[in-house]
Amino acid sequence: MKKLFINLERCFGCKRCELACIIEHSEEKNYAYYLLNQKEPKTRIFVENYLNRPIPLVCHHCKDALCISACISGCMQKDEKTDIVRNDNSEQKCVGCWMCILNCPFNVIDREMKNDELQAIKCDFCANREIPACVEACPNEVISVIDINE
Amino acid sequence: MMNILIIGASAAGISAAETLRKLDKNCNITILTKENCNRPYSKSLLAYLFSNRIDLNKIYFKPKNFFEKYNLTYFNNEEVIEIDRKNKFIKTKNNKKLNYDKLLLATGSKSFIPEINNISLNNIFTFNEYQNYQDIKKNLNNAKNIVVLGAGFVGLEIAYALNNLGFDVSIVEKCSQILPNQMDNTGSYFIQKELENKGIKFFLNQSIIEIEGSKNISNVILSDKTRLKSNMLIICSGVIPNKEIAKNADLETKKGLVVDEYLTTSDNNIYGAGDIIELYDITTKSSNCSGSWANAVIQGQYAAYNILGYKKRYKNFIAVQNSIQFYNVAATSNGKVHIDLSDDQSNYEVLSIKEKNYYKKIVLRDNKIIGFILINKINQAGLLSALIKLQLDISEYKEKLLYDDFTYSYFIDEKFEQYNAYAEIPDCWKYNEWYLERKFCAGI
Repeated sequence: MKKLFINLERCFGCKRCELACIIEHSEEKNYAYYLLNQKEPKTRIFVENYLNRPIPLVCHHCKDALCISACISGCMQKDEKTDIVRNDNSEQKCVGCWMCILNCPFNVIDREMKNDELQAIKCDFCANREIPACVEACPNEVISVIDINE
Repeated sequence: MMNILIIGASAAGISAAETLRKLDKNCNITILTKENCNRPYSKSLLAYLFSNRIDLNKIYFKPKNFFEKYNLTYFNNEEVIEIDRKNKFIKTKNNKKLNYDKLLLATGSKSFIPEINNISLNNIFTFNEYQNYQDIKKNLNNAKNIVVLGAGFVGLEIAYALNNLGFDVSIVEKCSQILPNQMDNTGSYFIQKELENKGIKFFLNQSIIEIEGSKNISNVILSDKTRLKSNMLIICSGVIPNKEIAKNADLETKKGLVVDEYLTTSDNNIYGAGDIIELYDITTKSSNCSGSWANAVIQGQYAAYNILGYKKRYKNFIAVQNSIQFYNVAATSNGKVHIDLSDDQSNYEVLSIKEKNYYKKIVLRDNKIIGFILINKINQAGLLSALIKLQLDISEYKEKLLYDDFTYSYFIDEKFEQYNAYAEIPDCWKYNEWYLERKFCAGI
């Protein structure tokens, strides 16, 4: 199944991946309009810092994902065909309990206000696109899509 | 063909059933529940029904075709009253008799009801099952002043929901702070202040010593003789495991059903998972029961592996773990967050930072994280939980623990049993001036 893969030494922390992620997941699809609507930018890929080096953190779409076990409403599910873990693709609804954030060891789940309600958001592997927005936006081929057997 | 029986259709039971079916396509799996529901629902979601966050049809945590899809037999309204361990069958209240090869006890927990006079007057409820939700909802029209006994998790959630609906809500708590098991003084005060600003009244260091009323409850009297007007009382003063069925079958029980690391009881063919069991908690160094949904689901999965003979060890049990959002305050906590004076001789250290709208506290024992509290900036919670379970020595990171950038980026060598997402790093990246090497290193 398809996963994200990082070549750390090529990353400079430009954060274009974060920006592309925000734009891709916004209704406006345009950063200027997004900010004009007074929304707080929320990304699903995180470029963090370790010893002054940028380290992108990505969702691993884990097998036996802890976020799925922790979800009290059952909305966090793993798609059977694509193996993508998402909480916005099912009958159930996210209630914003944050048990997924409490359990994800990779620090890649965040909270976002949607329709006046705070909900959990995470990488959905850009299910509506050919290749994920972050992969396409990176100017130095840091992040790529690989195929692995699990 | 193996006959597997599961008693209990909540987090642990359903998760065990699903895992069993994924591992073995042929065995017979039967699930029994004493409740009336025809689909498994999430008890943790009941409070959200009052706050209108979800509708009634969203309390089910598995899809409609769940039993069909995984070929599971399901009986509701069947309360198991006897386990015959010698002949390996169970009997229900309706005289249904079912044989088993392996049995999983996932009967969960029930509300603890304190002894107060007049406790059986009308309009006094517990809040644990769907039936309780229906009873409370039916009587809300007559309610105006609602008293909630207990400022634990469940008590705060229902108080928050009912306060939002416009009722006058007071919370009575016998400890000196709210969330006594899950938070310390500082963390709990963040939440208390937010709830007080929205109109909820707190009566701390108080118990209810008397209930007044003739047919319906009209007042409650607190320890300091304060009389609170109350036309509805909701009791949320903790839960106790439903272990009677196990005790009557002579299985070893203490606080809860005693199981080993393979979730097996004192009978080799009987297993336990969820709120009913007690396990050794690595953070408090004592055996405890846990009321956590995530723990129950994972225990159900491990029990399934062990039932089928795979011998999967369940380790690193942490009883206390919580996360919640009340208005503008988000709070998470995990592990041991209080240090008592009577604690053992280990080397404890507490690191914390408190700002106007932010609190982070990390408790270390012998340089390993055993507990934390995060208020408002909760993104790092998952990593800290993982570090508790790994019991990693973090002495080299001690100065960085309180920083905002202490994330998984510090631990990319830990794969957490997933695929390796990071390519092997060339040597040039390790130098301090790695960016000067970029012509060769970074491929520019």
